[in-house]
Amino acid sequence: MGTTTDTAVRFFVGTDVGGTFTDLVVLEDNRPPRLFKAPTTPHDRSEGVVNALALAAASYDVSLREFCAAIAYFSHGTTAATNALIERKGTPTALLTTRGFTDTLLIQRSMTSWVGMGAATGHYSRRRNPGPIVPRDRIAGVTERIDSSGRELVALDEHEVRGLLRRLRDEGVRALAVSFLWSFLNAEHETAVGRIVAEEWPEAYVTLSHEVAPVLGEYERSATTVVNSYLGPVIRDYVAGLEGRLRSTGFTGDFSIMDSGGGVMRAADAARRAASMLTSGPAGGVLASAALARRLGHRNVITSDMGGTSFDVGLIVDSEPLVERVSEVGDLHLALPRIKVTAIGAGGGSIAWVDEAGVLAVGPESAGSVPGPACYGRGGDRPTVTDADVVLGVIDPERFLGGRMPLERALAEKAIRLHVADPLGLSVEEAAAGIRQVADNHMADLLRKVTVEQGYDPRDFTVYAYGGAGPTHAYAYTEAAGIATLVVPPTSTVHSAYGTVTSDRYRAVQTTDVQRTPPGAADPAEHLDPARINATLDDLSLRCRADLDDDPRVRLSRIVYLKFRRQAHELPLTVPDGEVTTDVLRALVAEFCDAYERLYGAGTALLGAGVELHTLRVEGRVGVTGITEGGYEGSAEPAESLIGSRPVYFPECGRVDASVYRGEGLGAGASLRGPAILEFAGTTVVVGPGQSLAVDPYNNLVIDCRGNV
Amino acid sequence: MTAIDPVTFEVIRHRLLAITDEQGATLAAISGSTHVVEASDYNVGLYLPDGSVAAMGRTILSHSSSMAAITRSVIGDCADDPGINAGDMFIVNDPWKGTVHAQDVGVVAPIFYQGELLAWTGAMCHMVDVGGMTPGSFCIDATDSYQEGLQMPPTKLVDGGKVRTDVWNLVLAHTRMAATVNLDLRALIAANHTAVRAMTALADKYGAETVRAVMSSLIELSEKRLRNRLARLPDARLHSRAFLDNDGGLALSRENATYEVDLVLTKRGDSLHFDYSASSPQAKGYINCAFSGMMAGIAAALLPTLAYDAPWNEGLFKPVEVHCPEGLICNASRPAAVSGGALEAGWLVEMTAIECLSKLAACSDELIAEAQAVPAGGPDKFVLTGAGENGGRQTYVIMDCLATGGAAYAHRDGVWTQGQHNIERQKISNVEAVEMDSPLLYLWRGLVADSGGAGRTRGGMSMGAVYTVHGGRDVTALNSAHGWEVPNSTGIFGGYPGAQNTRTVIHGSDVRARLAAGQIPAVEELSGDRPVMRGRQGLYHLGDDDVLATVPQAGGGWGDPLERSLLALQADLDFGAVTPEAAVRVYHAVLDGEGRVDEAATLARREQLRDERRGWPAERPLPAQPRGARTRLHPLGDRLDVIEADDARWVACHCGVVLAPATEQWRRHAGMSVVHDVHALGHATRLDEGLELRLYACPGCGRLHTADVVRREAAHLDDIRLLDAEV
Repeated sequence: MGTTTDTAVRFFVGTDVGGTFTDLVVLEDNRPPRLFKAPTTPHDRSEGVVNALALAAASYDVSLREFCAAIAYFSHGTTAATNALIERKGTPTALLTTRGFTDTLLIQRSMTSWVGMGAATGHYSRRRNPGPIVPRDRIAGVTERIDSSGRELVALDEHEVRGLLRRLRDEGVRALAVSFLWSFLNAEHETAVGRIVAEEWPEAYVTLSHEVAPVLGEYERSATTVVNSYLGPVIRDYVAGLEGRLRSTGFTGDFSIMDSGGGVMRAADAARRAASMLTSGPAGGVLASAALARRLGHRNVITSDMGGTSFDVGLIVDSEPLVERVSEVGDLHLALPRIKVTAIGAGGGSIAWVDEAGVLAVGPESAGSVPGPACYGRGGDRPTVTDADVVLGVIDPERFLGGRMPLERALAEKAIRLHVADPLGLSVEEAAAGIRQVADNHMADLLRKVTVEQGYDPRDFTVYAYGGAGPTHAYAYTEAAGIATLVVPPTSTVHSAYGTVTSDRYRAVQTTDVQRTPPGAADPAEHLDPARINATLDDLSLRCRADLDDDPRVRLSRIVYLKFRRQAHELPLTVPDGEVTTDVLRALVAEFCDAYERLYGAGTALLGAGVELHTLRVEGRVGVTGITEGGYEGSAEPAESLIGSRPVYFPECGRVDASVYRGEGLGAGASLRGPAILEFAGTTVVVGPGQSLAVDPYNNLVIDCRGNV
Repeated sequence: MTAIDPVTFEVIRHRLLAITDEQGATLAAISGSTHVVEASDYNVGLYLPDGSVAAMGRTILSHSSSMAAITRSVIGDCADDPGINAGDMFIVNDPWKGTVHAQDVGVVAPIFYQGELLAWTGAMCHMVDVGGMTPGSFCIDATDSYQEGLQMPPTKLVDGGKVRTDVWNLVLAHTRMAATVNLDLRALIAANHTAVRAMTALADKYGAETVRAVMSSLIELSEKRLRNRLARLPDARLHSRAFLDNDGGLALSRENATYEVDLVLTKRGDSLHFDYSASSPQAKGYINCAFSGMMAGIAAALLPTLAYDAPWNEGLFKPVEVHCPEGLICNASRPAAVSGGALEAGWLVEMTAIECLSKLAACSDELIAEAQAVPAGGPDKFVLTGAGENGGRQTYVIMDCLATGGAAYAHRDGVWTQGQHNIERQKISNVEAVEMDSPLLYLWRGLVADSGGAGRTRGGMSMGAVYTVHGGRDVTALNSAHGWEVPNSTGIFGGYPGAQNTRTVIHGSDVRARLAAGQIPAVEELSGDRPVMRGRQGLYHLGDDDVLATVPQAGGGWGDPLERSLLALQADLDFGAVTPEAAVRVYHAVLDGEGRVDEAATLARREQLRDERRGWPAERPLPAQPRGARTRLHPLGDRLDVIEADDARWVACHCGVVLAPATEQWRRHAGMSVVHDVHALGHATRLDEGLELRLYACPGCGRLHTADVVRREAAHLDDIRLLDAEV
């Protein structure tokens, strides 16, 4: 291994702080990425990051300081924002609304009683109003009113605002959110409040709704504004702490933070855009997958991330990650573009149990990392999916996580016997196989669901699998979903971290400007005003570029949302570069109709109802790393990596001898047939009976799951 | 589940539910209608060859019973002629063939596998218009069903895989919204195709026998779970009576009858018997529901109350028997008008069923947490029309009336803006979305203080709104509500009713001048004429200077309001859930100079009130108190227990006083006070002249045990009668 003490700045480092592990990946020109994992340190997450850096430094045979000094670029994703929101540990925040609408955030468009309940919404006695992030007595109405055409109906009472600010400051509020009705059409009143705050109370952290989410819909806009202020100071401190720690360890490079909308932002911007950091971990994994999909020529991909507690699924359609305009997080609905990830409680730690009627169920309850699966020997006595994998021989207890964490098979057997096998009258092995089958089929059902919900057929997709347990189970859930091809990337164990370092710098700015065409119009485009659209897009483009420091390399994409009037589905459409003319709009409307019918079936486009154009968005992207990854080592001849074979119990065919390979030993061009087990330092990849595997030139494991079914 | 191994069972079970999810997604994708996508007013499912529901989508609860009913209608009416064959689909929207009202259109399809009937699948959605005398097909002025639009009995829509264009065109010819209905029809068919394909694949993999056996086992499991639960409850007969104030479409007629939906629920062993036969005869207006609407109401009450943890399917109806002669308001016979039934008589079927099931659950320590007061008793429908584009009139349905407060439970206050009980996941529109779409400007939209019924735990607050006309021409409003002169969201076990529907209209107000002067006025501040509004107001003009304020019904309270803890009451005042005025009027608090609850004074005042209650006259004296050791058997609601002592069973208050032998009505031995001023109890001002509220308190401790809404001449409400009261 070509180690060097050369201190030239050459490393690009991606990190992702998850609930259990802090993942780190190091990129270097013409060399393969190196992957590291350190336990997450919840009391001060920067400590876990530094621990992971220390592992990396050791691997390159340099001191931590030398390693940090050689980092050109450091990119970071974290659950810090999500945790602070879910645990309601943000900054004391106040909300100013239009007088008469102070309850908008409490009512949540009447979703308040069931948001966050998942599948349990039918259990009415368990309903509750979520814990507030702003108490009701810190939500104040301000005398002012704009109407739906953007006209001022009631002037802003500035005197009242000053009085309110003084009161709130005296009460210990540190952050302010301002969200007035129709502010995205006419921001004068919000801007005026911003000015007054700057005069009267400059140290307050303030978010104005028209800046953070200038779109129609006061509930989602207010929620986004409040969350941004609630998290802003927390994130400011977090980023400052981490950056300080890195700088003091010798780091002088650029520092970026993951934005769940689809890229990274400068760390310096994160404090202003804290709400954009929510759930950025899963987004990183989807982005890394999208980059890989472009490289491999897969237009449609289902990403699947199976960890200890949850199974996260994302979609890449026509090479682009699916983005939600409004998404749910921490019992609130936010109007920020966010890469859509759907999760269910299915992971290695999901607990298997038999209910009173003798039905076998797996999850959603999880043993988490503490106590963890029974085989961890940390006091967990209930059987989990990982315990089943150990019993079946899929995971070698001696070599789990590269032998760093030996597991106890006897404990796994005992838990399965007691809680599943005996109650069902099965052998331990049959019970373990049953747990696997149930879990794998639940995951397959989710793959089908997320594609069908969007109007697609899962069979037109390729599955990418990552996360600690994903590569172990993917062969089965991919096959059960009727999908042919599965890809396990070489970075699968740290895929989100890999996504943070490979993603572009990204900024999205948007607004709502509704234009409707009359019902029955033969040529709806004639009724849209291209000048207004041009003006809006030009303004958004200017702001987007400015937010990206007017970097000349910025690539802009312009998106408008169209829907048929009185219909609920909307579709984003990319506006071609150049001036928007009626001809361009005519083409867009035609493209909209085509896309609509492609998704929802021929004849579903209700053009006669008229169309509505509402949200306009400009996204800017600039490449960051520009690195050429080197190839992995490894041999095209699998026999060189063969460790031996061991009996593995497959639900499909019972106990068979499976070849066991050292995963890292397999190089580009290698191919083999299942049943086979590939043991990597961080995960175990399974190739099912009758399936085959080929290693592509980038060391992706490509598994043909059609097998013999 | 004899022959199937538990793993295969669980895999197929999950897959069946996933198939209904996929069906729902397909339906919503193609329909695109806001009724479907946002209000989730649709359902899908998989049924056994006899029509029994094996798996259903988690959308609107009311459709769950309809799907089985229309499938059985198809089997009954079409098996011989025109025949049921592979590739066929049948359309039904006749309320006397299983749908709740004609707007709910269902399409069901047999799934044949290797020439044999494997299962049925079906899909149903609320369509925006199926004709009739009123746009939207809620025919408020209808006096018979023939005025209420197209009503298709089971009819073959797809014949051997080929759509029958003649039938298709027949349907479209009857709607004002052919383009949308066309998409909805396609959506229903596609949802069925999705299920046919998926079920065929499932049978390919596991065999038809296995798939059908899992479907049957699912039903058996749910039945078993419910029966086990019922068996652990005491046998009892429960009684609830809800009032429906006046006649729907006949708002302007002289008739102003108050109708009754009356339920006697008998629980014996592991079964339930619903008897609605004492309900009013069917009415002339559109407020009736057919048998299907009654079944839908029962289903919507039963599923979340006693089957919250069981798969929702036919098994939950096996322990259920329903009795109600035809010709009554909740089992109307043709040609009764029924297009409003889902929101009127059918609604009260659900409310009475919730009340009886809650009182049954409250006879068990294990299940009392599932019992609730009556949730929101019915919406004040609000539809606006105004001159729209192209000179035509536009119609706007304003859904704010759905954002009602939930009922109180023993362990918690009602949830604010929980929404209607029969919609599992309700949403309403943003103010900005409504203002963009319609000629309205909101002056206020928020939580209504005092709207939740008072109680030891309180009902949840509803959302109210204040509107004025803005930028509209020739605007006409339509409002229609029950729960106007009757509290429908009644409290339970001494809790008071939640708010009644309230609506204030101000004509010729100074709203515009005040806005121009830089004020956002409150309703009380506005000048102008305030005409007397009626529940069934019907159409009225709204001009530019007019203001409309609405407060919907809100969930009832639980337990004696005097027992609300002072901490909770102070928190209510701090939060604004209760106003200082109502804290004094309803909760009898004494407030200090700063408006805070004065603890000592309040406790003294409450003691004084309990003293007064101890003096309320009772029909009969207390029985001789048993002397021997007492054994508590189970609760009888909130603060009453059934005990055994001296070889007999008794009803005892928590204070220790035995009110009555368990074989007798305890109300006869309790002190009673009659109230006609509903304002004394909550957020309401009107009570039908024929009704009264009766408060019953323990003569020993003065604790309030119930606040009943009854007719003036009626006997005591015999709401919980134990059937195993004899030792």
